[in-house]
Amino acid sequence: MDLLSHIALGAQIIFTPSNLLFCFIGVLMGTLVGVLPGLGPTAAIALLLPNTFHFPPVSALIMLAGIYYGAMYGGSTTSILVNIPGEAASVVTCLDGYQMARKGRAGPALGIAAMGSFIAGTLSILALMLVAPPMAKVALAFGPPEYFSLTLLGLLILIYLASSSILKALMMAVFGLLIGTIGMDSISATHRLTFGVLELSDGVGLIPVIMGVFGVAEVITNVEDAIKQEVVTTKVKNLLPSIQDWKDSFLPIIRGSFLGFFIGILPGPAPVISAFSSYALEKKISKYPEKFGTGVIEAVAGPEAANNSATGGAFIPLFTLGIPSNSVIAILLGAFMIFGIQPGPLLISQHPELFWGTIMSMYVGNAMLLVLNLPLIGIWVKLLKVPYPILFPLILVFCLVGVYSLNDSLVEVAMMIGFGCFGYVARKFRFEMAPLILALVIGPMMEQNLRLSLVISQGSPWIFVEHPISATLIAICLSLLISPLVPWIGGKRKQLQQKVEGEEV
Amino acid sequence: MRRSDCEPAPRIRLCGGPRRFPFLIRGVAGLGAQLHAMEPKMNRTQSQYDRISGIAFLMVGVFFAVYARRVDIGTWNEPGPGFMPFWLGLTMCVMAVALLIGSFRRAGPVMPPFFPKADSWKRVLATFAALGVYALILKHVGFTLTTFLFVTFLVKFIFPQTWTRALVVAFLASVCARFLFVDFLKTQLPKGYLGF
Repeated sequence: MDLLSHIALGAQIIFTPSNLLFCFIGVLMGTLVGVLPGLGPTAAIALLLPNTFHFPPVSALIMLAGIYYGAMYGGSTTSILVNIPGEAASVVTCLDGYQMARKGRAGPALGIAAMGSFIAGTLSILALMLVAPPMAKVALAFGPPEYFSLTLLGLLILIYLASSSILKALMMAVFGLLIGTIGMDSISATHRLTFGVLELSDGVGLIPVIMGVFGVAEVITNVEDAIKQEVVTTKVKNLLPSIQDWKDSFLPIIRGSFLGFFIGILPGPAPVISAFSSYALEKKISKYPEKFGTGVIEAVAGPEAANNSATGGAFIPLFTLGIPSNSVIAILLGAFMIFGIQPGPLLISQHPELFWGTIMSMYVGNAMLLVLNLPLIGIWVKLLKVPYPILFPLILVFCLVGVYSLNDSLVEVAMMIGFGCFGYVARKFRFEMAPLILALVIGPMMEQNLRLSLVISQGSPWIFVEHPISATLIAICLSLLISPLVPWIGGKRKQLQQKVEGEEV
Repeated sequence: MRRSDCEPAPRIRLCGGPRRFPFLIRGVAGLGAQLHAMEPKMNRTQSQYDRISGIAFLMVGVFFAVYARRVDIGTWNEPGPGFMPFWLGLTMCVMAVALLIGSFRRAGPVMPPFFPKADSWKRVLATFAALGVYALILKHVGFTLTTFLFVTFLVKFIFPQTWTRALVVAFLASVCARFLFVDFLKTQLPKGYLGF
């Protein structure tokens, strides 16, 4: 009955007019940035974050979470109608969704994407609710060596999935860790590598880097050449899928939900990977795999369910360990710190209103999204008809304002432009940005835990294998590093690489 | 496919520039087109790219390892603030050298050209320049006017639109952004000398 009282607590929090409004603004913004190509949930959260500081923490979190799962809904609309993924996670939806739209079945495709997202979103929140509290209890046994090994594992999983060479992904991760060391040292309060720049004493901000390498670099890549925008112009009708459509897509949705949730728990670009995995799974067990790519509804339903479900799973490391699994969660983690809330295993017991309030808001938000995305689809279609030559300056203005308003600092704006330049060039050199961002996010945490562990063990690095949990994690890390050398597993990695190729966190 | 191969590439025309310095603009543009025409021979291989990035990251590694010594590196028993930058810098050097060695051992696949179109570099450069100018003049000119100028420039010159379109979009964008950020979200944005 504990659970019921918690649910009641959460419901009390969300069903107040102001929190409902925050939830609505969140999902609306999320859908908007999801629909617009080149502007992801990270940028939107970064933009709204400075404006949430004078709200109560739970309201801010409700809104920011809304942006995250709202973007997953919005991304599918662009994929289906324009064949451009509005969001990295909806790349797969382009494959069959756009084909369905060309055959005049845009309605059912959009309908099943929204319904599938809704079902998956709800299932994953349910799982989050059941899994997170016991996980937090386990996490209490974690000390500095365990935290270090876990963050190391998180980084290595992402590197393992890198589409370019492992060496280059490792280099990006080390580069991210190096950038993370700039600023004031948290243990001795010494300024290091700041070169007298006042703004650097707090470290290189995450948001200028993310907005630079994803926002600015993406726009710059797009201005190289005119993008051909072909919105499917036939009228979108019959949004409700038929009985046959439901029969075809019900099981894929359920499978996608579970797959997405478990992949979501792992660090890395979970929504993207889970969508690809779901597509591969559906194709494998389908009776007619040859039809995939020509507009089959299962190929839209499964991946859409998976990427939504993954957003729920991604909250687990945040709420139980205080470890971010991707850049969006990292910014949420930053928001926690600003509000003076210590993320970690004690979060759920110390701030139950925050955890249960956010969870309940996700149910409400998912219902709101269904309304936003089905009857109001026409508005989003209109938005898609704004040509890119007019859209991209506006995206840049968003990035500029978002970074500037964070600390009223032009140095951070300059950093964003600099990292935009770096991201643009590094992509041409086949370096990936995802390991860099994750390393920058968890770098300070890794450093602190490494140094504390070494102090505990009096300088012996064996402490990481003497603790059983840490030893297990280190063993997995080693197997990840060695496995590409073994041909059989290496081949599997190649296949995964091809699937994840070119995608970001 | 995201990009069209059949559409003629829109040109950037910098205001007054071509007329005043025709030799300069045409000279540089001509060079770009020439490079583009020679492309099949000019395309670099993966290993050539790797060599450049190997050297660049080697410098990054050395830089961090050297600068880490300015603060206390500490010992294994008690690592100091320079501990991570120093060892990570060394790791970076080792990996950069590994990349360099690898790049000399095999040529790797031929990469697509750095710029997909002959005139891509102009749009890329102009967009970066616009961002830089935005950051430079924001404090002095104020948010609303800077945004207006920024959007006008990008809409008019990157993928050239008509003047009417550029001005209308810029006007709407700057006024709406001002209303949204300054009046509604209460974001602190500079007002500049003109006061808006």
